[in-house]
Amino acid sequence: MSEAGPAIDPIHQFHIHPIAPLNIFGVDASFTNASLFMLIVFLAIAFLMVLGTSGSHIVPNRLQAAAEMAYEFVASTVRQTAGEAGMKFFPFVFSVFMFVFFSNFIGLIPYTFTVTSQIIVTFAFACFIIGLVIAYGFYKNGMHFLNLFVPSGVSPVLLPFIVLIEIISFASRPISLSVRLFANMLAGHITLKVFGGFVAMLLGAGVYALLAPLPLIGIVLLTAFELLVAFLQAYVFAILTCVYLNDAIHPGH
Amino acid sequence: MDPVAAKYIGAGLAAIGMGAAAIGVGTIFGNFLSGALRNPSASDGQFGRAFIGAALAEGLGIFAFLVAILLLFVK
Amino acid sequence: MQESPDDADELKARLARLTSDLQTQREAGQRQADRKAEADLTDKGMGQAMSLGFRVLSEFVAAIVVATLIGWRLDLWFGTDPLFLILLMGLGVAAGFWSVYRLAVKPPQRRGDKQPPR
Repeated sequence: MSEAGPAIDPIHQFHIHPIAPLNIFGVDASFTNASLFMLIVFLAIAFLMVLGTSGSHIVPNRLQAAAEMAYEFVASTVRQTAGEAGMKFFPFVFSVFMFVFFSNFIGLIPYTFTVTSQIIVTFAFACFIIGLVIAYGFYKNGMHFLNLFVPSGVSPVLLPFIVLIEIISFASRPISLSVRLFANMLAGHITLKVFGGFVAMLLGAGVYALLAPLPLIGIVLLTAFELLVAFLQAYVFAILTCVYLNDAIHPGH
Repeated sequence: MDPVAAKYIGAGLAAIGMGAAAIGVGTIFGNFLSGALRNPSASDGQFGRAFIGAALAEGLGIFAFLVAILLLFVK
Repeated sequence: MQESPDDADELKARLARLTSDLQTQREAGQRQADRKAEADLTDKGMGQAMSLGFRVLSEFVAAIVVATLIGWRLDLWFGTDPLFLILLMGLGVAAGFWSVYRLAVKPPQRRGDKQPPR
């Protein structure tokens, strides 16, 4: 790999290089390719939703059908998981789902940058969601929010043990929420680029070039699988946000 | 045995754990499939549980991976 | 033009044949729909099951990793070297299996399941 190192480097796709360096009070807030792709994802969502709902004629055209389908999908998930009281958070859950879904999909296009493959992006999402859950839980239920950690129907002997376990599983939520999305996106893209490297190396290896289409078929299959994983990760992220919000709304499960 | 070499050998041995996890996932889905063939109508309900079992096996595989990474990169 | 009796019989026979054909046609359609619905179920079931798998995997691993990290930090803080690490790691394993148990007991709602009373 040494001489082909610079050419085939699966990690290169995750490097952040500033486009418009900007330095505010010593903070490097330059406009990087990550923020560029966040903008692209935002514009894609705005394009879909604004144009989709502008026509609003009875027989929906394709764009309107797509926008309605996205709305229906997230609305049914929120209603099913967090009940009617959860619909208060529907705009938030919808925007989180759409952002993660679009950034995963746009990231699959070659030469693009996947926003959600950066741990800091998913961790920021997760911290915001858990912060929202804690804030809303205390706001709505006051101290009763704490009996989220005391499940009903547990013998008092086991109680301290169970409470400690509940605290640990609550503390692990931001980690599991962010690392799941990050790891799936990172691993998926690295595998794709490594297979891409195989094709490149095989092509350059004389008689072995006959084997080159094999990893290419692998890439096709992997991309299909990545499409499914991209959607699933966005769905799991949205459904878990609803589950955690539901815990904030009704602490005593 | 100088420690750096031992570290790399240890990481290599830890990576075998991931292979074992793969065997675990293989047996889970193998048994699920043979069960599903015998009784296809009941297989849909248990589809989720097959994935839960596979996820647990993968989880242990990930711990082997963590040990290998810890050995390699932690000074 | 008075209808002769055999015409009426012949008409009735044809009617009976027609209804039986219609019946078999409907049954075939129903069977085909069932098969398609079953295929749909496994198709959607696949997505549902995979999302459950992802959730179980990350909750299990995260619980143990977080507990071990906390234990390790406490050890550094209090200087009681292996004690908290082992204690918290055991607790993390318990927390991991507890959250997996809760997920496994509440299977994903398949179509037709009544929403359990919250």
